[in-house]
Amino acid sequence: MRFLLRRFAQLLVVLLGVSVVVFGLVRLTGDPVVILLGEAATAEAVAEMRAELGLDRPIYVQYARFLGRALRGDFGLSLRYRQSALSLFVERLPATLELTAAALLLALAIGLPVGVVAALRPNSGFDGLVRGSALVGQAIPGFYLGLVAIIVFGAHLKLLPTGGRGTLAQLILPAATLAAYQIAVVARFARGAMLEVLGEDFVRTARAKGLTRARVVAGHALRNALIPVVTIVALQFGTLLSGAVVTETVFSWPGVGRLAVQAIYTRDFPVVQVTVMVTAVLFVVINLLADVVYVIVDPRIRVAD
Amino acid sequence: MSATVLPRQVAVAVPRRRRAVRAFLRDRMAVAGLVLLVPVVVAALWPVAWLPHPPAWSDLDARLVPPALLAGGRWAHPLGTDNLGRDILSRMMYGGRFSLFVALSAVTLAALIGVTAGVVAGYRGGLADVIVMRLVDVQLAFPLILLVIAIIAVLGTSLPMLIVVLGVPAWAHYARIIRGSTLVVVAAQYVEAARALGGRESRLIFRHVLPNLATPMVILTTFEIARLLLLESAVSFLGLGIQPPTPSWGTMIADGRNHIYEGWWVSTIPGMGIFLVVLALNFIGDGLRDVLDPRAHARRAML
Repeated sequence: MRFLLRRFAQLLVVLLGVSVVVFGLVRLTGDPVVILLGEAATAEAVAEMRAELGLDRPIYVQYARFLGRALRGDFGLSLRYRQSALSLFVERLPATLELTAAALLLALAIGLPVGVVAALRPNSGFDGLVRGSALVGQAIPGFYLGLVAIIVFGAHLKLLPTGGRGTLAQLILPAATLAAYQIAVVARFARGAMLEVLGEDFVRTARAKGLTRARVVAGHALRNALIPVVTIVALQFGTLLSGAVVTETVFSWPGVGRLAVQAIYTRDFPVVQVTVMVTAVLFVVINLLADVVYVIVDPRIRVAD
Repeated sequence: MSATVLPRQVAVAVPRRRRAVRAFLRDRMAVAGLVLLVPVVVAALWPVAWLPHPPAWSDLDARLVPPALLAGGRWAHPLGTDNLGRDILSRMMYGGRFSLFVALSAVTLAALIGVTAGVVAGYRGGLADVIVMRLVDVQLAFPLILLVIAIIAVLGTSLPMLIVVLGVPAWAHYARIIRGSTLVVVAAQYVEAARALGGRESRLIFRHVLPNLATPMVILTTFEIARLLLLESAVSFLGLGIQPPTPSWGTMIADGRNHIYEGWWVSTIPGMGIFLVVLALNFIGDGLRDVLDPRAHARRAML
């Protein structure tokens, strides 16, 4: 419990830090008054606008105002869509969640069994194949893999749609592209965790009791090996979101990543801020949840703390 | 004092280093990595005047020529040409130096900041440690590519800007790993002994702590170069990195995007460059880890 309280306090500190960076980003965008009024505005109009927006106040007052608004979900209006930046983000979020969830599912469905089987036969041909593919999977840039997938399955074989969202077929290529790196990560960690557990005393005891290999693996080893893998998967969420930015751009997937990239091209800064801020918050909160799950499934941590 | 210590250190260090080199060369993956990496680096540093063609020269009679080994290919353009008739091999060789330069400079910057922060956190402990580690958490909370392109969108792009924007956020990885290693080193008896003997703090840090951080630093740097190369190519692919007409592997892939029907090779071949370099660096990093850090070796046998 004390462990979780401490983690929660840390989370608040981190979130404050995140808000400072995003606020700094806002300030870097230059004088919003010039953007709103144009270069030709009179000095009085500019001064009036500055006072109205609170820009004549000290920087820490401005930060406090920014923070207060951010807490209420008010990041201002999108300059392009004339709509609340947050609502724009929320509209696009389901598409990104769908894509990342599909990728995560693929990564677990392929990475876990492959990693576990490789660990059961270390240094076999299959093991070598898994380790080699994992290294390859981690070295291919996501946008490149997506492009190659479009060329092969879209342009030449004409098997799958290469853009848009709606049908299951449209989900396949982007999800597989996004999953490739994660499959490699999950397989590597599943293999490592499994090997480590297989060397532990309780596994040897289970074997000595005369349990079948299948029961030792499924009942004893696998359950314990899954714990670190769960944590790694949760920690991959940030990587997945970063990957989604590029994948969504390549496949014209209407999620928050593409929204952010388009907002950056059109200098729609409120939208940029909201995407950076909210994804960072999501990431931090998910990490905390991963820690909570970790504590629940592994009582040893509670004792150690 | 140091006169009696120094010769013994040297006597031990030389055979150990030789043994490390030999062990590294026995690692098949690591050697494969070197074999992949060295020609790419040589190609990237090849003088512009000696390139097969000037990188910006358009041969308008030879647009979208496929690589030489394919039907319709010509040996004048071994890797084919793009939609403007520019030689892909020459552009890759020329563009590689920018990608590598950005990645290397960014990593240097990241190491400078991160190692300083990590040593301070690990050596001082207490409040300094808490502050540094929370800052690491803040840094790692951002989806990196969003942060990078947001900053570039605001401040504009240029080669120095790219180096700063890619390098500064990478400090967090260094700080975290170096802090951990510093804790281990500081707890070691020889540091305690040096401290008990009344060694000055700066001497303690530069003479006893920093040299012992070389191993984690070298290993991490190999992986970080690979990671930043990937990030640079992604940023350039999105049009916010190295600007045309200067080619980088990322911009070349982006250029080829609009021609995947007529010339799939225009974007796929530069991508192979990134992939091979990153793969080579990962191989070398794994090999270095095995050789330099025997404890990690036992762990990696499992990973």
